[in-house]
Amino acid sequence: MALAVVAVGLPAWGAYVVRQHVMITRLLRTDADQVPGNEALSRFAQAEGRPLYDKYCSSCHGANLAGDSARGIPNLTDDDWLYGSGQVSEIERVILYGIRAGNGNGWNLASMPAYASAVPYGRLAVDPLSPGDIRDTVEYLRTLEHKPADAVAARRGEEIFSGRGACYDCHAADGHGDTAIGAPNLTDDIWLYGDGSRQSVFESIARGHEGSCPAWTHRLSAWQARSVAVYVRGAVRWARNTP
Amino acid sequence: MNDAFRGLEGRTAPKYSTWLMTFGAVIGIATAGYGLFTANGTASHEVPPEDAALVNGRPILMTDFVAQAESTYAAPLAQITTAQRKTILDAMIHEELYVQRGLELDFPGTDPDTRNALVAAVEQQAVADATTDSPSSQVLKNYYDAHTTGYATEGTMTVRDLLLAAAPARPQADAAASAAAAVGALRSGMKPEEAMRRFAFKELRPNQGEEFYFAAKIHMGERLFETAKALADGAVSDAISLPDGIHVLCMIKNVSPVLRPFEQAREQVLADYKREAAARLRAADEKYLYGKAEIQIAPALK
Repeated sequence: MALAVVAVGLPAWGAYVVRQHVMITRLLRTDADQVPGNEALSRFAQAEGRPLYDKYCSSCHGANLAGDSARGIPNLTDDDWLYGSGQVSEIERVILYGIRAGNGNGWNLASMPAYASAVPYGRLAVDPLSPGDIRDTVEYLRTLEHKPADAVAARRGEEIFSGRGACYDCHAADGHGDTAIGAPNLTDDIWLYGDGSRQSVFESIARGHEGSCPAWTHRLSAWQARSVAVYVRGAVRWARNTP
Repeated sequence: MNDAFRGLEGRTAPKYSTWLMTFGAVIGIATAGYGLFTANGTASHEVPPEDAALVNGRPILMTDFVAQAESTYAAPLAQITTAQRKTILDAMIHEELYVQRGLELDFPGTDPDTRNALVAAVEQQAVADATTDSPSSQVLKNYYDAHTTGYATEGTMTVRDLLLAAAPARPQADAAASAAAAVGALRSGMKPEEAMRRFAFKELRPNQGEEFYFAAKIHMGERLFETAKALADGAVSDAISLPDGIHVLCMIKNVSPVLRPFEQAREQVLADYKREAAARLRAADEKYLYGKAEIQIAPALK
């Protein structure tokens, strides 16, 4: 009986190991951004990536990848990307090197100043704003989203946005943001922090933000990081096709 | 033994074996020498799938190559031409070669910039566990409960700062009496503009409007700010003598800081928690390094 188990199990195990090796090699040899277009590789990576996501990422991003705007955890299913455009290679880079995680290869370029403080931003000279200035800026941001706003305050806010507030420097003159530095689009009514209400936007400007994502390069191997990236990328498609 | 070979034994065989031994030794020495002097002796014949290249056995990660290529040409890898890929890879190989050469030349031991970069990298590595840590909500809540003073909103105030400027010609007693009269009038409902006219006050920062506590403190100075902070809406301070004259503060609106609920403060709590954990790790790492090091100090510096 034992011999029979060994006789059947050993070759099966051997075949599994060989298949894993072959698939991992193919996964790594293929251009990361082309993996989602390869049915077999994508299925393999997603199957391998899911348990890794559950283990390392779900404690923040949630089991359903929906994030948590109360904590500034991005929704990974909405296809709205803070960094890059959602390509597998870009997601993989975030997984490996993180965001403000102290890794030189990661995304560390900028963070949101806390304008209600004496020194809003440590890396660059930015003047503080008064409560009235912040309220005016909030009104201006509402006009970018075509929401009802106080027009006079919004005009003052626009001057702050494009002038001494230096908001344009990261969020761009038209408020569309900059995915090269993780500056959110302020015109699309997708809010990384809070619900987009006046109070919540006021809080963001007043207190600033400096969200971070750990660098997993010392915990995940190259193929594991790619598998998680493919899984996350797949979740966007899944969410898009689910009513 | 066959008679035909008798007499030949002991002559032909040692001659062949000596040649073979010599040949083998030459091949061995040549291979070792090649490996030794070209640094190619242990080169792998296949680049692992996760790497873009191996330089003297050191990998250049495919992920780093892709990131470098995509950021240089601002396009996904699929749109980057072979020539462009080659340019990037050549640059990365060039960098790796120079890094390896820098190590051979002992730059970490002699070059200040390299040493600074190494110190920063090791410090980052030491706190990596803290930066990748995801503390539970309960752990963060406990931290928040223990450090509530750091999680209050920034207070705001709208205050008018009226000044009876110091004048050498005016006796101090007269100035004090005038300021006391102004305080009484203001507390009785006189408008600040009227009080300024009647008692010769001026306003230091007219139309300042609402400001955060930190800004008010900077603008007014510690003494006036502490007084202002304690005033309720509509209250008028006592006369405050300072080197520049006598101040009277009229508080229009004062919103004191309030503790933010944990859920609102959570991001800051997490940042503070990680910063503190990183400081602990850094200290522990330093203690460990000092503990295992043998440090000898010149007598003159002891």
